[in-house]
Amino acid sequence: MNNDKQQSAELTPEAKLVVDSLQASSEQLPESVVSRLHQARQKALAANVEPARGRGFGFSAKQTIGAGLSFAGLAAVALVLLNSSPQSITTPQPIIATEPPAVAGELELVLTNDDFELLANDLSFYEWLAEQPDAS
Amino acid sequence: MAENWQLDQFLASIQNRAFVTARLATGNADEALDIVQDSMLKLVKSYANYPQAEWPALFQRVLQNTIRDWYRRQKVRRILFWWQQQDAADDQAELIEPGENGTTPMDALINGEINAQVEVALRHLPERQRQAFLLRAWWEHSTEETAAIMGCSTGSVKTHYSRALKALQLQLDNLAVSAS
Repeated sequence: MNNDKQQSAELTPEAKLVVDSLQASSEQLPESVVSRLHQARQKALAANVEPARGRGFGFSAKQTIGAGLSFAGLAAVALVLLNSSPQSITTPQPIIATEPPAVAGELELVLTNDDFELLANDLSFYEWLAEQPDAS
Repeated sequence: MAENWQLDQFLASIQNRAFVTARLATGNADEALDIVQDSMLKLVKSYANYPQAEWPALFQRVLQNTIRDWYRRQKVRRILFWWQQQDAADDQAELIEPGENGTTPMDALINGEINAQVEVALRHLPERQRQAFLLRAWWEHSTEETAAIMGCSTGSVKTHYSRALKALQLQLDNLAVSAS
């Protein structure tokens, strides 16, 4: 170490000039640079505080997210199982005959071929009636 | 866990020199600021729990590695965007012009001129020689510490350092005489 100190002390004039010049540069930095260096320092120091807050329960963020997703998956499976009651699986449900709704009946009437024929007949009647001279 | 005020004190004591070191390596103030910020963050995140006496050497290692990473990125960028090399060279030429220090105009002129010539001389040194010179002469690290920071033997440090001294002597001979 002594040798090192001596070596540092025995700088050539040129090396001493360089060191002095560098020292002057570092001491006379523009305000804008000093301010940005100060901000950089504060950011770095904030990083020293942040992990300490997160270490509350000894879990990392990844572990917490993983555990949350696993829990959500398990909860979803449990909900599905609870909603499908055991009765619906084991005992057959009775089939109850219900009357078809009225709309279905009307559709049936409209869609049959006979009804279309009737409609065609009616149209030809109305066309014939329109061609007749007025009785009055 | 190190106290924040201890880290703050340490970082405040080295931030300006770290900036000048990074600026010498990159030739660009913005890049230098980014490098110093990255280095500070890495030190705090990875080495805050280490003994305080080891922080200077650890910070140097982080700083030098971050500068090396920057060089690698620049190399890749130069290969990918070779046509922009001329523009970058022009930018660097502007950065080493004098006039950044806020003393009287005459002092600024003289000091600025000397500083600019010194920066040019340092920037002309090969990277390893510049590293060895800055760590030994300016940061006052021992040869062993410098070897650990640079990741080489003490013999290599001595070689780089003495070559750097010789190169600076050749480049700044006239300047040193006029300054003294």
